Amino acid sequence: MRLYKTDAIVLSDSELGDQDKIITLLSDQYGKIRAVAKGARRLKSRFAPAVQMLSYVNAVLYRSQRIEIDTFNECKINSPFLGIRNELVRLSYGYYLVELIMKFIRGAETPPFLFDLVLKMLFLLEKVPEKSLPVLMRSFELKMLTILGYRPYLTGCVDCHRTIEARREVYFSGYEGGILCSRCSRNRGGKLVSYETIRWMKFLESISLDKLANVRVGQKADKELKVVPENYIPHRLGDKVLSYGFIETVQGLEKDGDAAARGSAWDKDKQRTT
Amino acid sequence: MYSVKSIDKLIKEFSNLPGIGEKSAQRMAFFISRTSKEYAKRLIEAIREVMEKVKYCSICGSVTQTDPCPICQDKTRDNSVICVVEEPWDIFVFEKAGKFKGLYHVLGGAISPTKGMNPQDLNIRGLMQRVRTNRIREVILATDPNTDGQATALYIAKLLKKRGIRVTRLGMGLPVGGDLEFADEDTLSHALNGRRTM
Repeated sequence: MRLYKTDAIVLSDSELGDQDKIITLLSDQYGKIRAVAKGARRLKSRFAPAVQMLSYVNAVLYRSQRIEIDTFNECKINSPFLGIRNELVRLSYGYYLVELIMKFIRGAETPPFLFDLVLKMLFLLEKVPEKSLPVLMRSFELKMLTILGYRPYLTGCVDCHRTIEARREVYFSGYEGGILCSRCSRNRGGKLVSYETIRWMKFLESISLDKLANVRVGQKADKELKVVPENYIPHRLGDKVLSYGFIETVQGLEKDGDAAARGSAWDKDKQRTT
Repeated sequence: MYSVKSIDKLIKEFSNLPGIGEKSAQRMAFFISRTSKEYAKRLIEAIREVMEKVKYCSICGSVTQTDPCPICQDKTRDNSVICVVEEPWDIFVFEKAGKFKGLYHVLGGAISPTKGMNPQDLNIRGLMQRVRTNRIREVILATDPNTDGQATALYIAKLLKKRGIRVTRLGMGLPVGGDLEFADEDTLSHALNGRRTM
């Protein structure tokens, strides 16, 4: 049995038996790890507050030679990110961030710098003005994709490699992995975006996250940049990102609360009488 | 490999129960095989009765044998206050404490977008309908004190505040019998916010 210490971000938990939880963490040194937190479901548990989703912790864990899952020995909170967990809009982005990491990182190997990027993102997610959250998330997505080796091809047409000029039509294809010229898009599809949006993508991929607090993209670019989470990322993952829709739902709630309360899927399930 | 078909079948059924793995299912199946026929009959009868008689209250979503449930029908309860919980068994915990005299509403879970559980998958619409059609002066959000429970509470609070309803959250803080030395930042923060004059 080996005892080891690591800084980590709590990603998710699931119930184990009556009292325990299995916690998934992103460690700075050991990638994605799973560990049992004994008694974490009890109200007086010393682990319960620390193993909440999005907490940044310092954990001491046992690694057994016999079983694949580790066990918490201690867990100290470095930062609980209460500013994210107590505010619905920020929390909706937090869920999305967690799901991206859970789905992109499969095993123990994590590319260098990813942990630092995620941690930096959490600190900013807690602090930046709400209006900056969409552009902050777009920047994070592009940086994360670059670190993981999934950077979209933006220097020219991904098919014929022709340079796209400013006044030409540009298409973005998640399936093809980048931008397409108008000629290649006839056969390969893609969504029409403005040249300005492509420039924004390059800019957001390169600029440091903490410089984004006062950056404002125009309404058109803001809408077109959603091609990254709505099209590009699902193609790279081969899967939907379920919590992306929750961001939109919460934004809809800000605008019209009643509409958000209607249309419940609950009614379909209501016939549960025997 | 030696096996007894009927025991294997029983093990298979037991292992479908939540939290029961193959070893536990095996122990339970062998227990049943050794127990008295009277006990086995009582167990079968209890399961049958649950399947036939238990339903969900059409008002609050609690488990009940009558619809509406006894709590929703009870005229002595304060029908201006609704306590919102995640699951039907949470109601049992409150009723055991015996301090709450209002009505309940069961959501059927908590918002957890990463697990595919979104607001439209919960009975939030039913809650909004009750708030619209009855004279509700307070809604107490008693979802679990974890991230999903908090997301659910924040979401519902936002919906209800637009209607001018008083929305409260269960007090969270130091557990009785706990040690201040081990309190974390979040718990202490809630405890300080909820402090009362002595």
